[in-house]
Amino acid sequence: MDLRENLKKIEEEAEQLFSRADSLEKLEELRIVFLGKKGKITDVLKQMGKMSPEERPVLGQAANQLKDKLNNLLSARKNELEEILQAKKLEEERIDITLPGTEIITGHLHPLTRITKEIEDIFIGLGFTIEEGPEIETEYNNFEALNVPKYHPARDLQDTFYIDDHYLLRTHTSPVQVRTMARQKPPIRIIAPGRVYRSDDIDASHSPVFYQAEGLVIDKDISFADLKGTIQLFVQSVFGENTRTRFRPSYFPFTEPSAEVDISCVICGGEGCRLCSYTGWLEILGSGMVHPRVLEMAGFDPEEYSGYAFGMGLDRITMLKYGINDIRLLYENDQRFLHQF
Amino acid sequence: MQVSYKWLKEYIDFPYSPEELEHVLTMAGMEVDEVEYRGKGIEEIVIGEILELEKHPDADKLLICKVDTGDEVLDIVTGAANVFTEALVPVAKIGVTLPDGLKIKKAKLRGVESYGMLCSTDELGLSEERASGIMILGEDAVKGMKLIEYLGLDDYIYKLDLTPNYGRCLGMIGIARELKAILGDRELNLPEYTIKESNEEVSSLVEIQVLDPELCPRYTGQVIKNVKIGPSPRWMQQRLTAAGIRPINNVVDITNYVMLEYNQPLHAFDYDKISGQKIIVRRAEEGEKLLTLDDKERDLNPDMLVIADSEKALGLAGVMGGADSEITEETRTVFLEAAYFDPVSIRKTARGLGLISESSYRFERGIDIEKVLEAGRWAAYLIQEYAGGEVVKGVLDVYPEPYQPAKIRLETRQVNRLLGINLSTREIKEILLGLEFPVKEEKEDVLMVAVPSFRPDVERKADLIEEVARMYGYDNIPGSRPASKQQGKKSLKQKFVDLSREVMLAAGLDEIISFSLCGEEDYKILNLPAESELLNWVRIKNPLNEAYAVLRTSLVPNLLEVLSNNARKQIEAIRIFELGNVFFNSEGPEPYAEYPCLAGASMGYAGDPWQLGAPDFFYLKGVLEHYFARLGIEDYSFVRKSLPYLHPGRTAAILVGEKKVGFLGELLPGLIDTLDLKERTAIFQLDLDQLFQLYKEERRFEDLPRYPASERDLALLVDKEVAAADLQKSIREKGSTLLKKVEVFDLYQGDRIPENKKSLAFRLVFQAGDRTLTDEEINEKIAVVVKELEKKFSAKIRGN
Repeated sequence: MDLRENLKKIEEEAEQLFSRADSLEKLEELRIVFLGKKGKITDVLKQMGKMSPEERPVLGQAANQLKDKLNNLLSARKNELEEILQAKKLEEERIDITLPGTEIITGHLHPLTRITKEIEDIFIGLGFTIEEGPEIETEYNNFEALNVPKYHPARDLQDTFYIDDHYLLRTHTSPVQVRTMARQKPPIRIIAPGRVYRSDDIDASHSPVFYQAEGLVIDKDISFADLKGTIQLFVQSVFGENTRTRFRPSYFPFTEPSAEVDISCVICGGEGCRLCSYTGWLEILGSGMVHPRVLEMAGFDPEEYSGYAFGMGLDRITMLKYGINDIRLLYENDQRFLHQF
Repeated sequence: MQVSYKWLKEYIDFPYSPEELEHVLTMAGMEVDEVEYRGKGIEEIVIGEILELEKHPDADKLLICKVDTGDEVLDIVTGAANVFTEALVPVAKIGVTLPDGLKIKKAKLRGVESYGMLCSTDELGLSEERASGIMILGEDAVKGMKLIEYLGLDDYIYKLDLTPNYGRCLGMIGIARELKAILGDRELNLPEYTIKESNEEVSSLVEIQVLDPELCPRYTGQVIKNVKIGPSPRWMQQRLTAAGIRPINNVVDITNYVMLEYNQPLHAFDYDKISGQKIIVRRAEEGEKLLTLDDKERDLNPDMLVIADSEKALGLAGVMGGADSEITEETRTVFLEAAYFDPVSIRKTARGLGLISESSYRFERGIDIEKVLEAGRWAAYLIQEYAGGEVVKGVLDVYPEPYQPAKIRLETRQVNRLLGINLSTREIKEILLGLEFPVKEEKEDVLMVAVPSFRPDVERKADLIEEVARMYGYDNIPGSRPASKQQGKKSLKQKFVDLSREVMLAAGLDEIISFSLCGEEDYKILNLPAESELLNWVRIKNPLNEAYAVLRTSLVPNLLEVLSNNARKQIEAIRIFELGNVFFNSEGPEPYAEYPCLAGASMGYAGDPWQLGAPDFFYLKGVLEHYFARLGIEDYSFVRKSLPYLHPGRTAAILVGEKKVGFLGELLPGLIDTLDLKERTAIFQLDLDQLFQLYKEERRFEDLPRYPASERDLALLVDKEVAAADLQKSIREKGSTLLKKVEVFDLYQGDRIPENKKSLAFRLVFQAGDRTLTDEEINEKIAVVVKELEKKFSAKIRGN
């Protein structure tokens, strides 16, 4: 038989079988059948001895060409199969992408801390530093240095827990003002958040332990208008741009003039509702111009320096901001509560 | 202070509606706590006159009344027995709803139609207790009139929460004066009256000696004879009731009434009980006793001022009268006191005795020393009019040093600078004049302001500036912000605390905040020895109750309580931390010390890395190791320790270097049961001040290694008691500088190894900065390590 025809046949056969091969294993088998050491092409080449020397190189060339061709065909088919298999594999790996993701467990910040941080950030942005003071305070720092002498009716404003004749649990964060002024000359610009105590029985809106933040600014030419502007900015940052602020005359022994600050109700926006007792306003902080006697006691000349101070209940602000209706929730630490923040 | 809208209007004709008045008072600095409409719920009740009474034909206990309500005559059936013809009674007509929600309908009672209801006081919500019959009104009631009008209940009450500087507004006239200043265009209506004095001279009846003029700068007395004690007029009773004061009798009511008007507390004595015709104002003697009006015997001391006669104390000056000289039915002659007492002395006395009265409350805040007599005279007149008294001629007035107004210099520039506004001198002057401050223009832009006697709260310039601001209107002051000359930032310590919190959150612990006040009882569960410093609490002198009587010395009881409360709500897993102070009595220069702690707890953690049944312990330990890494603290160690409430085999002291910074441990099973916790709950506490000292904020970059690392695992068979950390330490020491990391990665104790032994597997990572290490090099190092471990721990290498 003509070896050339043989080659031709092999080629046809291989083309057919290759294209039918449906797995890489089969394809490998076919490679061995056609191109292996004992394969069909090798068979043909083995028979080349029978041919004339002139024909031999011609046939050798043809056989090598066929080898190349079959190799190409094989690798093309292999690619094809691999692609099919890959596609099949991907298809099989299809998942229910609606199943929930891995649970990420991180802790939750207490809402009081959240608010404290928010307030700190606002005032740091305004150039304030943060100060702290002890919870067990001297009577002097808590009262006297703030212009609340011993037998003054203003002591009634705060029910005090006493430790002994000279020490008490601070009833407000205001003693931090005193401590700061004793340490530092103006300009002063501080905010002092912290824990305070009053001898109040516990109910939905009172707690013997609670949090306040105090602000104090002392410099030359600080005015009531500066106080108003600062507080307005603060209120809008915490409660939103549309919140209105109302300053009304009040009394604190350590400020004069003094102002109580109300904000338009966070629920009704001023229309009147239960939260604001139908007044449209919510009281959120006390403020005023630092009393000249407080400045004098700190060794600052009230003719030269003026300042403003303000103090707010962080529990109240937290409760208003998040709509918490019972202060006790803040200190019970129920996980279902904590995980809401 | 409770203020009646109608009553206030008597002193000044203000143009405000009840709602507007609330706003005006608030913005003038008188915070309105509550506004109450007194006639709420009974607005529709009218007065009816019973024309005829007839027995119900079919019911013995029922009466059929013909009631004239002015515009119609109604048949109304009642079960009350106290009605009679011509009685004037409250009538609820058909369609009216009573305060308790009962709606009146036409009803048939045993076959007789009833067109309304006659009401008792409790049905109208006018009394708490059930009344025995229908409310019978006085003869001055008018049929057809609204009941609330007759009772004076068509009125609003403003409950003012007055700050201590508003003492002047503890009287109606003081409030009216504020409105006058705000309105600026009308005068006050003050009572006008004439006293018909008898011929007898008051000085012939009584003598006044003020022995301590410092505590009593002014004392006035009058005598009124032939008084007939009885009820005060209805209008006066109504006003007292509106102000929250219970009517007693005409004389006492008058003293209270005038107090409410003038803010001048008065006291009426029964003249006949005064011995020796002498009133002596003196300090009490040591050991002196007095039975006060409230029938309590009071122990007096020389810090207290008393009003006495020649024999004994009659009353506590400015605080409360004595029972022996009080006005009774039998009183015929009244000695009427109007005085000014020193605010501080009154406060000391009132606080000292725990006796705060309407009177002491006012004296404490300072009253108008110049108006003492005016109020007294007005009261004498009212006693003349409403108790039939004859006012004895003259007044005794001991007032050695008349009031000298303080003068305050006020520069326009200062006002404007402090407020951030721009008022003219004239505007400021007008505001102050409106508030009745006498003002003189000293020179251009400088005012000299005198302080009137009714403004003891005004002491200096700032007080006047507040008055200007208040009248100008806080709302009218613009908002600005001072330029900041400083940089706002947190201190290193604050950043450290923030970082601590951040690490705890990232590690999966929730932040809690709990009370620093606690009870001794809370520490019982810790089973601490009596000498434990944790039991040496700082105590509150005046605690609310035992549960909040001491300051915490540890965060542990707080954490346990939170765990327990949550566990009892079926919460299975909880991880919490708290940052807070603990408090101690101290031997140092300050008698008390407080310092911040960080404590955490874990219950129900899933995962137990060493299969030792200690999931929470090792979770928290992991948290702490991570925390220390973030703080840049490397030389920490966990050393076995024992604490009375923690598992003896599962408790560690935490050391950094030699310093103890805290502890970590598993709770004792008994405690876990008591608190209903899940088993294996663990807890830690750290001293934050100490950690802050060790905190390294700085970071330096190290070149990344350029040559590959080689890992070798080493499984060691050792006695059970050998600590992994000790092995690790030895490996590190002997492993040379090429040994970069040593980690424990497996623990095995079980059947495949001898009893009392355990197998610990370590992974050692070797690396050099300048070359790839050869096996020979590493083997050499390992050999050194192994030799050491064999020598020191009798360790055997497994399967190597």
